Amino acid sequence: MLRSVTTRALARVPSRSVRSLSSSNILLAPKKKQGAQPAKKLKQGYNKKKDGAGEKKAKAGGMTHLGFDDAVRALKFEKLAVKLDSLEIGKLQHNGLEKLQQSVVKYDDETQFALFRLGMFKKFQHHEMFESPISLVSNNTSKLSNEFIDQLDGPSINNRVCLIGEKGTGKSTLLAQAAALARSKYNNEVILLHLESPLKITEGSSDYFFNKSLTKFHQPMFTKKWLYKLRSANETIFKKLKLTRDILFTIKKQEYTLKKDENTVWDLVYKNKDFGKMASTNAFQFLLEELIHHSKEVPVLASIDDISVITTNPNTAYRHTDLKKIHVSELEIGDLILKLISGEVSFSKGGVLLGESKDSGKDTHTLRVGLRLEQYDPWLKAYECDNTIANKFLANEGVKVFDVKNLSSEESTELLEFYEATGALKVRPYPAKVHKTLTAVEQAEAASFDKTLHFEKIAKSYYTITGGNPRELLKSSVLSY
Amino acid sequence: MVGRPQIPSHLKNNNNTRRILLPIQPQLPYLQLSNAQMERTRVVPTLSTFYGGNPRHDDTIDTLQALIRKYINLPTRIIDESEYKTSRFISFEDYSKLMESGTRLKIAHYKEFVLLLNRLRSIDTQLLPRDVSETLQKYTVRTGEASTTANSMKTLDKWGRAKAEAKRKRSRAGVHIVKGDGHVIVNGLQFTQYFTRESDRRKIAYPFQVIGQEAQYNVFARTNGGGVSGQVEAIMYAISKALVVFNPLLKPRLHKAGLLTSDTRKVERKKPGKVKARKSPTWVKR
Repeated sequence: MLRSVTTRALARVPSRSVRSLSSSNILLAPKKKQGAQPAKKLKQGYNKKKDGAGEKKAKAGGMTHLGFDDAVRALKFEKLAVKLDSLEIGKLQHNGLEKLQQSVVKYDDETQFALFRLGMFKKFQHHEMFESPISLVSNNTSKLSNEFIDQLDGPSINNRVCLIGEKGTGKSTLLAQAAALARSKYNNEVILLHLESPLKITEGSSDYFFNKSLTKFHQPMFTKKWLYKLRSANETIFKKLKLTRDILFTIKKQEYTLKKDENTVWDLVYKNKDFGKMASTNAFQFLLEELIHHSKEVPVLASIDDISVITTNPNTAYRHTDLKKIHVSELEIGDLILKLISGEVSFSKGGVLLGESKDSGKDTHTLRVGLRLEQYDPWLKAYECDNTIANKFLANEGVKVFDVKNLSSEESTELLEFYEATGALKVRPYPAKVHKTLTAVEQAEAASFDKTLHFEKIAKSYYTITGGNPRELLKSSVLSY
Repeated sequence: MVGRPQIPSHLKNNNNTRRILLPIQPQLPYLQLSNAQMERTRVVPTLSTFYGGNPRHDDTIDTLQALIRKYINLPTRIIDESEYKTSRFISFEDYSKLMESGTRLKIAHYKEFVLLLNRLRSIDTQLLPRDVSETLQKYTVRTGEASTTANSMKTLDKWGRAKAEAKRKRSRAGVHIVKGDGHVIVNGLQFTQYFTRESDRRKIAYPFQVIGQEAQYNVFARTNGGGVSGQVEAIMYAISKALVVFNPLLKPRLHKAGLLTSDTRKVERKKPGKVKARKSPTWVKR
């Protein structure tokens, strides 16, 4: 019996396989159930209802793919900040600016939205630390208000100012404050033309198309995006400005006409798609002429931050067909910037405010020669000093210089008090060891902690360390990353 | 009668006894002079030890021994080692020059001289007579430590500035600090412009934190050589030294914080057979 079972079991083993020394493993193996079928292959389905693919799964990893610096902005870190209403923070206003001197202010809601859409709140200003963007009304603010904002009633050719100063003194913040003060002064009836950085037109990220009639290069992608921002920030005022001429344009082979005195500048910017068209158009020039016309009643504040991009490297990343680099003056927007700087494009009411930046790479002599801070040296090479651009700054009696200074000791203390009130600055005793050899009185002194006194020491210490530089003050007192 | 030549009246009151020239008659019958009269005419040396081997040295020894004998009864004290360091007597070479002895003055003579001076110095300070202190002062010279101690007592200049210098590795820094409100200028540039790293600026502000006087001084620093870290620490040490000038009582506190002693570590030299100071070339088995 056993022999027949063994024979049958061994017969099942293939002849080419290695023979086992015993047959017990074969005999003792569990038998296959009769009628059992192999497991079916699951069908991959995409039906949310049937397959449950619509169920939200908890992510095993982090909340975002972004780095920390970008993540705190993207994830709305400011929602966890202390409410500014509890701190009785005032709003930045042109009237009564003297009373706001050396105090921290916020922007009113409409202005804040406009400035946000124009990109006036920079990443390195770390506004995510607070509920809404804040700034300090310093001596620089008052001075700029007197020298620039109060001159907005005159032509912009006589009101061109360039902000210069060392890195982190608050030039970009001052641009935002100037825009807010202008809106406050004219009850939001002011046109803000702000360019966040000319790098966007020189770095080569947009397409470009040569317009033979204008002899300039359009940048449709950039122009379209920029006008979205301008439209969003100036929506209210654009809706009030009537067109002075008719304009005809085509969308998807259908013609549209905007009538003068009937349609507004808002309609022009909203409906006309020619701004982003890869073709020779004069839509942008039309818009510019409308704004120049309306500047008789409504001031136009043209502000350009990071102007050093143009002065340090005026040759863009674009090239001609002969592979020569395109100069910034050959671009439509670049040409507009240079005309605003020189005063060739002048608004009846308004001003041009420029902001230098120290982040634009190796500095050249162009800006300093243009602002008359340096004597022109004819031996300088073209890449060291671009005469074309320097002459634009010098045209029509030149651009005025505004030196942005660091904060004073009192202003720094005021800013740090605000940081401490919002919880951004931690004032706590230094975790030093108390030596056993100290007497009881000395130990008690070492253990006692006067927060006010300690804060004063911190304020003075940080003032020495930073020299009153607002960016350094923020970094040293608030940030640990 | 030929007698002793009389001293003329106009020379009688002359205190300069060495230069008195007594007129002697050319035809003096000296054979008729007595011994006493002959005694008056011979030239007498000033020093009593003139006929010795080392007249000036012997005279000095006699003077010192006379002083010791004079004040033999005064109590003495044990002199500290620190006092030996701060005030030493003149060297053998200087003593030899002073005594105009040339090669005749030996070490043994010098040792005898020093022994006597130490005996005089051991007289109790409160009872030290004036002539002894004057004698000691004549033969005492300040040592380097004493001159350092004298020089370290620096004061503010006419503009109220304190000046100090320090070094670290290859860097040298000189600073002027003055009462102010916490501005720092380094090599003519703003603080944040010259030292872009915050940790470097904190190091420079550390001495003010130690003494609890933040933002009370303005600092003007000149530095050269080395790298950034070396220059930072050189300025830090220089500021500490300058603060001591303002208030010497701050010295213990700054010393405890390690700010008065410059870090003496230097870059170690490269040795032969090594790639760098310590690094050896890759070892190959065969």
